[in-house]
Amino acid sequence: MVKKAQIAADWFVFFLFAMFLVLASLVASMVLIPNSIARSRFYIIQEAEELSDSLFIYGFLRQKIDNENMADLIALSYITKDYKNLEQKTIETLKRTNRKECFDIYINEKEIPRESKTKCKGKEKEFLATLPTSNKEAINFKLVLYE
Amino acid sequence: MNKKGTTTIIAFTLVPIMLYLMIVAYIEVGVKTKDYYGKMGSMQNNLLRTYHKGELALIYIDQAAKYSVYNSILPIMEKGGFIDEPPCGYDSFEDDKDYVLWQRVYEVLDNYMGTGESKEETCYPKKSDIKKSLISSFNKEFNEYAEKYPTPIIPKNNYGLILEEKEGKQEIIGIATQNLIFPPDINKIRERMLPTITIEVNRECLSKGSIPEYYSDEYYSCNKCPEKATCSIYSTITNCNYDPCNIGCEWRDEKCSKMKRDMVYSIKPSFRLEASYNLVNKFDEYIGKVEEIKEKIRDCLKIGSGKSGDVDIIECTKKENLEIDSIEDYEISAIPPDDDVPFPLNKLIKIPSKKYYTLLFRIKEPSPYSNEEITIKFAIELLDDIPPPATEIITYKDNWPLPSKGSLYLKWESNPASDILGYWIYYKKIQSEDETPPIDISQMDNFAGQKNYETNTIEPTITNQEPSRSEEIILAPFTEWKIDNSLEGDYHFIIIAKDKFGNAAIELAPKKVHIPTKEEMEEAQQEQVTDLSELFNTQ
Repeated sequence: MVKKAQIAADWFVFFLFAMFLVLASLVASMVLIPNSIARSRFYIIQEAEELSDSLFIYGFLRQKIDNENMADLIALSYITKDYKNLEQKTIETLKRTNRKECFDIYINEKEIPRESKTKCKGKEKEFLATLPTSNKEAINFKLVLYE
Repeated sequence: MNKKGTTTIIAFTLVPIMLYLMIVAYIEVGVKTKDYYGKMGSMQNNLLRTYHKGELALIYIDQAAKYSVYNSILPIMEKGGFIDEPPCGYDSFEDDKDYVLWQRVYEVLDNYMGTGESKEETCYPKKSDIKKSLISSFNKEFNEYAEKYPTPIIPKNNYGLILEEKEGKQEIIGIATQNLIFPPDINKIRERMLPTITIEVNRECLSKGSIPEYYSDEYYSCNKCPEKATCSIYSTITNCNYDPCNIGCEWRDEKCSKMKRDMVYSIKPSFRLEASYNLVNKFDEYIGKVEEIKEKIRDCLKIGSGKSGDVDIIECTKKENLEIDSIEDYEISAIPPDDDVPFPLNKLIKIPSKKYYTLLFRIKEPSPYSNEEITIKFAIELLDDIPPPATEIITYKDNWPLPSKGSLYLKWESNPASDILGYWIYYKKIQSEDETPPIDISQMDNFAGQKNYETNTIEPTITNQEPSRSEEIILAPFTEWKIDNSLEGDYHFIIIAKDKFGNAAIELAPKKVHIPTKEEMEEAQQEQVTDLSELFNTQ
């Protein structure tokens, strides 16, 4: 009987020791693994993607139109209050970059009047830029695209 | 201790340890699996955002530079190439300083009496003048744009310009002297774009006497640089290339400490743009045309307009045109010299008088950058040192029925120059048949002595080469001279026309004239000679 009890105690200690090893390795791994690596990486990628998307605005503003560029056209449209050409060229540029014709343009927080406007839903992306005009004003240009 | 005791001790030791481990594991799992709302990667993101802001600022600068160049070109054109005070000044006829002088006439005073000669000086806008004007005007224009950028990061008066020509077009390269700095306010760096990045750029050493100075990368004198350090000078600041740790200074916290500076993002906002309007070529084209017109007008003034009763400079100017393709419209007008003060009344007192013509150019061109018109205005002053043409003697005056001795008149063609003051008459008796005509008035014996003008006696002091003898003149518009009674026989006559500023005809046209004697006159009267040229036998 004593012998059987002794064997059971030995097995119990062995079991405890095994448990100890498992727990120790678990704790060690918990301590050593950095905090939320996977989600941090995801966050960075998401932000970087958003930022890399902002490259679009550089290309958009520097887009050549005859002897001028899109930034000139925006400034001229603002001065003359004639936005037809701006709307047309924006549509052309969006088509050229395989984007939907879903956009809104704001100059100094005022939405420019559009001749035809497609109803758009989806996630908005805003592109902001400050642009000078030939009559020495600085205007805030905002292009909102819908995905 | 028996085996039972050993097992019991191990069991009782492992149980609390395992309990502890379980608690730690619980906490760790709890911490590492809880939702994360923080912004990991914010530093990298801020860096990217800073680049983005830099790019947007560069787009603004490029556009502003383009408009500033456009806005600068117009006033430079309108001010004849000189945005600041032009070297030759402005046309004195215009109080509003509209016409910039590209050529002026000024007097060089020879002595204290104020006598001197007039000279021409050209002040055409050269490439360097245009560049200077462009830089001055550009920075002024650009500063206004820089002020309006929402973040105060764009430096003012920041550009030097280089003008280059490329395939007929002008390229303007703006070289920035100062960079754009992000963030602009270093003290607010943590509130802005680069909150966590600092870089170690400097070390401060408080070593053991061998290196007495604090280490700094900015010394104001090379003498303060420690041994083994090299220094380089950028503007007024001396930088020591000196690392205390490499020359024996112990790198311990209590001896040396690190100084950290916040990192900034810096971009040189230089630009390069193509101006569709080549300002330098444009002015070169105008200057070439003005030179051409100037020479043509001079030539025209030398021979006169060919009409009488007009003003030569005005008539000659009317004939000229500016044949430049880009010009929409132009006007060249001329102002003759002052008529009020024809010449100094007294030799010794210099009376200022306008001894030059003024040509005013007003050119209209379409603006290359807008629907407006550009009006370019400039003027040139032409020194009136242009001699009138030679005066040709025609014959005597027809004094029908027949002239008698003492009523003979020498007649000549009215000089075509419009500013003729009068005619100087010289003659020389011909001694022999084969005598050659005189080629210089110094070879002439006498001068005509009969006054025939309405005003009182005027002593002419017109030329610097004043004849040694006194002179009398026939004032224009009279073109005849009553031949002195004492003259008989063959003579060479020269009539020199002089204008109001003493310019005398260079070319001489001597004329051989036979002045009949009293007997010849009586004989002709008796024979009722009608062809008087036969009587005078002029050649």
